[in-house]
Amino acid sequence: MPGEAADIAHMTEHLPRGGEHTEELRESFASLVSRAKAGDTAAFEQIMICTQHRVARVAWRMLGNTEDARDATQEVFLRTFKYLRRFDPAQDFHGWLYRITVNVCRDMARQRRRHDGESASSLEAGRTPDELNARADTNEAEAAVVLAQRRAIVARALDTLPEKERAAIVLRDLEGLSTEEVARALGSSPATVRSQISTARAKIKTYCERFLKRRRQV
Amino acid sequence: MNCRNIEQLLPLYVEGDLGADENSSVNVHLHSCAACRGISEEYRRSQDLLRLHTPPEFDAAFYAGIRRAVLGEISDAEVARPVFASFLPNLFRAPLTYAASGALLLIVGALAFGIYYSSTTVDRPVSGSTAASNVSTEETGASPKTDQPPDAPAPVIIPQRKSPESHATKYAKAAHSSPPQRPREVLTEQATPQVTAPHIEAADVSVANVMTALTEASDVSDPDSASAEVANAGLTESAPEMLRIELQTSDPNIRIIWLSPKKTDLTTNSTK
Repeated sequence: MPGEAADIAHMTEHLPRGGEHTEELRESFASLVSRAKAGDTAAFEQIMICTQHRVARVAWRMLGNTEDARDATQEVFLRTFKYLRRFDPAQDFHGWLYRITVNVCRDMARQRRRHDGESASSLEAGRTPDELNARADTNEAEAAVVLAQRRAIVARALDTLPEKERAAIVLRDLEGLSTEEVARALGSSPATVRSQISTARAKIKTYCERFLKRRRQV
Repeated sequence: MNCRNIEQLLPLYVEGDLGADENSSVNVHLHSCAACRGISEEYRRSQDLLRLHTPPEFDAAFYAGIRRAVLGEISDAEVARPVFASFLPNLFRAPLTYAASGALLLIVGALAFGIYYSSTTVDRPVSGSTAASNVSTEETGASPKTDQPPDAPAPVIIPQRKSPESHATKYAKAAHSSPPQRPREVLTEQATPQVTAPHIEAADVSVANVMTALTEASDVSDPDSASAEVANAGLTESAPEMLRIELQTSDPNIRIIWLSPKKTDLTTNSTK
């Protein structure tokens, strides 16, 4: 069974999303979901194997570090199991899972803000772009540092976004969902998602341009 | 479209999120506007940077730990959950179940009421008030005709009420805290005005009827018709100096007991 789940996981990761899944894959996954709904924990474990990469990836992109991504992924699967009985098989399971993931990440970000009293996410390396810039002068592997610096800039830029804009940009530009799929996952309209995406892209551009100009000056 | 309009569309244009018409308008404008073309390039660069936001490669142990923790919590929750908790949510989910529960409650309530009501009517005399009146008359040996003083109260026939929950009945039930056997016991014991007074007071409507009938009966000239009606009333001489008159209504829960000194005007000594 783990082999079958791995096959399904591989297919779900590499096939296009939405309605383009093959019928065979859809039936296999639907069978797993119906068994899990009936309380079969083994089937639920197969579902986790199929979807864990996607959930952990989104959680990391929303929260910005591995530790929080692990906690969020765990919470997502717990909530998924808890509310699986309410899941309508006519729905897209992955869209439903994205929605749970985004909600869990929002909750965790709020909790962290309350505890830390600062920005919702923290950089994986714990360094600001300026710190990385300073290291670049002394590091021989400048290319690697530049890459890390750019990643840090993007992470900081994403940190400046409101939760909904961040979720929209992560799902649309990084996960590659269509505007309609993002709207379903976020529980809003496609027009709202388009507006959120447009605003978020403009903010990220402004943030990145500012740091890139500063680096050129240095 | 001017540059300002185009600039607002560029964030969506760079990722192909515009409709066909807007997309072609932006294309035409960018062909002729270097400033907007520059902004468009900035958007492309920032979008390329955005795609660098990829997580590290999580290993199998990372995922295995998550699955283990999740399944552990699920099994813990299943163990901790009470047995009835597994079926209770399903039991109360369907609206049909609510209706069935309501119907069941109604049936049980109706059965309980029926049992209670039949138990109260089991001890009712077959011929209603007449049987009880005859018994009490035989026990005392009193003749309604002979022992009756000249101005004795006429026998009373209280009109039968079809509704078992009429005003008088309700008050009578409230006064009778004991089961229906209680009135029969009253017939044989030495009653005192203090004991019987609440009964009379409770059935105030009936008493009023009795009073009216008594007054009218005293003027009745035909003794046969009066004696025929006396048969419906129980006359008991409960004490040497007291005359006890019991009137059994058609409702077994209502019995009017009249106590009066002998050879006195009943209408003046009546207890209301």
